Amino acid sequence: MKIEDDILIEKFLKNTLSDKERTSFMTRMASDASFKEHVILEQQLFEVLGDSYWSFATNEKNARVVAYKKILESKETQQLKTTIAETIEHHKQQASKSSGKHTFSLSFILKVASLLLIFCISAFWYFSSNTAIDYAAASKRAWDKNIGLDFALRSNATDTVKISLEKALYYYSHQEYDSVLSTLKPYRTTNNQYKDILLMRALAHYRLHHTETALATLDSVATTAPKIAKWYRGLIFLDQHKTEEASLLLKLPSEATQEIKLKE
Amino acid sequence: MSQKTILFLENLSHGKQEEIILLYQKVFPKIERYVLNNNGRLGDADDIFQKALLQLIVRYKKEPFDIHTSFENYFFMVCKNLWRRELNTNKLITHNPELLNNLPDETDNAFAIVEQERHDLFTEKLAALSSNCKQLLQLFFKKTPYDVLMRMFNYNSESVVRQRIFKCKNRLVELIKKDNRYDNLKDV
Repeated sequence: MKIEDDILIEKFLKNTLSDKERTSFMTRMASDASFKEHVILEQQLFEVLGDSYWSFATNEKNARVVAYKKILESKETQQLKTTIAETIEHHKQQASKSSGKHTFSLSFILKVASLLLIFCISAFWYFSSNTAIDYAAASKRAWDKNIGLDFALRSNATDTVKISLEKALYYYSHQEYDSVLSTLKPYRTTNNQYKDILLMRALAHYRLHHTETALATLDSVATTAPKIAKWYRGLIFLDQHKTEEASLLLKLPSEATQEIKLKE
Repeated sequence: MSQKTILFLENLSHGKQEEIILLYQKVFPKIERYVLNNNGRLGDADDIFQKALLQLIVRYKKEPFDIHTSFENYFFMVCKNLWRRELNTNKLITHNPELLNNLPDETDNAFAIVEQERHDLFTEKLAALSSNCKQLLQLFFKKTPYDVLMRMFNYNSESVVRQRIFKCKNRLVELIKKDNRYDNLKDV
């Protein structure tokens, strides 16, 4: 394999070949089995060893797939599947019963503890005028979902936009927010992935504490992706402890362990 | 595979309840934490545990296979991959609903097994490379831009990075193709 071919394959996998280059590439794939095998292997390496994708099998006729399917379909394996499910269910029930016994035997201690808890809560209410729920953990989990940032799967772009977006996402995940903005600076409204570009810019501005700019940019995102814009506006308000404003956009949980959801 | 693991899998394949419970008690809390921290719900962790267990038993029934770490660590890695597979299936279906073709469970589980075998082959060969090649390729396959790699590894230019990646990748491909497992897995 020559390095020129390697560059060509990389461009193909990143969807950055021109129409002419792509046609020639596909013709070569059809006529050169060794080249085709190399392209497929390289794609699988990206999918398996990268951390954001997965390399799916699709060939039902492959000998190993057929052999495994036969074992999986066998009566013995089906019975084993049931045994595993029943064993775990039974174990969970036993564990729950056992904890129930403890509950009964410790009921006196629990009653005392409950009274103490009630006393503490009352005291807390007495001394604190504002008992807001701490949304920090739920908010972190909500931010970590990275809603709307799955460009690679959605995009069919044939130009450099997809690469720039992936590069920007890389910078964003490494907290290099200025680099996100400089990477996406050249792009204008005519681009078909402009919504994604705007979203990345908004998030980078927010992380750079340009909150007003971030919110204004999210207003522009809202014209094409209202739910995504609403989600991030809500999270920004929540970060700023503007719970009332956040609750207009998001369903806030009643306990810190529950998930934040979008208000439909 | 160690004698201890073989015995453990042999017992599991006969549905020995004590062994199933032992594994559940040892590994499930870790799987549950992982799934919940990665957009999953309580029931998802149970499904993943059961699928992974069945997968390893079925693989063992077909033929012995190598495990280069403890059984618990390997089992956790299989669970992580099954969850990664599940999340990516959901993403694909969300954006391309036509892909929702309702494959029978057995076909989907057979696919998951060969995908895991391919994962084992690739990660094993990647681990066999020099430390520099391994680190460089790990970042490259995660789509780290060339300019970032250049700065991280103190190379003089992006062209040098490209040359180095090319050499490392060729070595990796060579190792993979030399392995007998590759022929069985290349067209899955």
